[in-house]
Amino acid sequence: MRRTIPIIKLRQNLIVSIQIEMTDRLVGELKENIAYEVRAQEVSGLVIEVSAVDFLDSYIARSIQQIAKIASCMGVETILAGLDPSVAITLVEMGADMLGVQTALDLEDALDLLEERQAASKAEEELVLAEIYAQLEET
Amino acid sequence: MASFADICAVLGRHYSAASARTIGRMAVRRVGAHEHAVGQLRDMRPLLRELKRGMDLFSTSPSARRLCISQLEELLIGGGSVTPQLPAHFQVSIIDESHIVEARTRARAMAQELGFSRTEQVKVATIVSELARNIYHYAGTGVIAVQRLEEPQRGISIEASDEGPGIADVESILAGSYRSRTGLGLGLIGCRNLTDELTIDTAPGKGTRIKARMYR
Repeated sequence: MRRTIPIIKLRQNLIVSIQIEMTDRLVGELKENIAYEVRAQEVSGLVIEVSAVDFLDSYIARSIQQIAKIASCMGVETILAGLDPSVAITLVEMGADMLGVQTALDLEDALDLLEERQAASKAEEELVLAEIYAQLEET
Repeated sequence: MASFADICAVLGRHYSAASARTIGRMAVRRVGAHEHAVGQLRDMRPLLRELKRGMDLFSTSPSARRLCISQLEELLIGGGSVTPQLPAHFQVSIIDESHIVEARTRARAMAQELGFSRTEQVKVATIVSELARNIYHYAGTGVIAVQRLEEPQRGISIEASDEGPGIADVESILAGSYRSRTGLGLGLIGCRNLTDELTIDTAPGKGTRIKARMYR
């Protein structure tokens, strides 16, 4: 059976929960699938949930950083959620820490964080719109 | 029929030899048996219970404790002979990507059997993965050999060898002043930071031989 990692849309976000052994092929596929899904689903946030991942080497860690960068290029914020304690210790001791990728303790925290940000940016948007309308009315 | 020596052998995989003997002796005494006649006990469960109580007096990682209990269960209640250990060493030829996964999975199983903590198991798997990946990406093919170490200290030895192009300037890679596009440097630096001992024997055109050791 060919195994793939499902990408699920929830409200404004994409959720990718990695539950299987990561091979290089799988990591490469995931990178591409996420990039296309981000565009197709028009989301504003991406959560990569890794609580079931009991191993990450520098290559896979770097691929996750790249996924976050790719998403960021498309205006989507990425949060890495649920990193296993043993994996976190190993990554930091190696020196391959998740620099530049936002992290959260678990999926719930990650979604809360994204929702907060999205609410904040929406409020800001409305403020700008109100200003524009006000200026239009003046003229 | 399980003997006292068998019980101590299983305990000894997860505790020091002296602790293993103490745990075994105390348990046998508490169920009113004799060390030379453990096999004649009709019901092994009280002995198992006493062994578990004894194990709690000595520290080890939770995963090692669990593994030890399951091995004791198999020894005393299951087959009755010593549980088959994983081989003391193995080799994986790295030819395609699936071998990277195979090498790290088997190395991790060995680390677990040796009683490494969960974090140490992740480290062993990571080291093997980095070394196997370097072989796959830079040399094409090579071999990962993993060996269990008992003396003078319990641990695991990982050797990666290939007949690839070799590494020209190991010093500057390890110093972090050189960064390859593909991340060879990061992998090697990571390995060095995770292992207790790392030796690299390489020269351009001479292939590469990396030995890593981790102790419990």
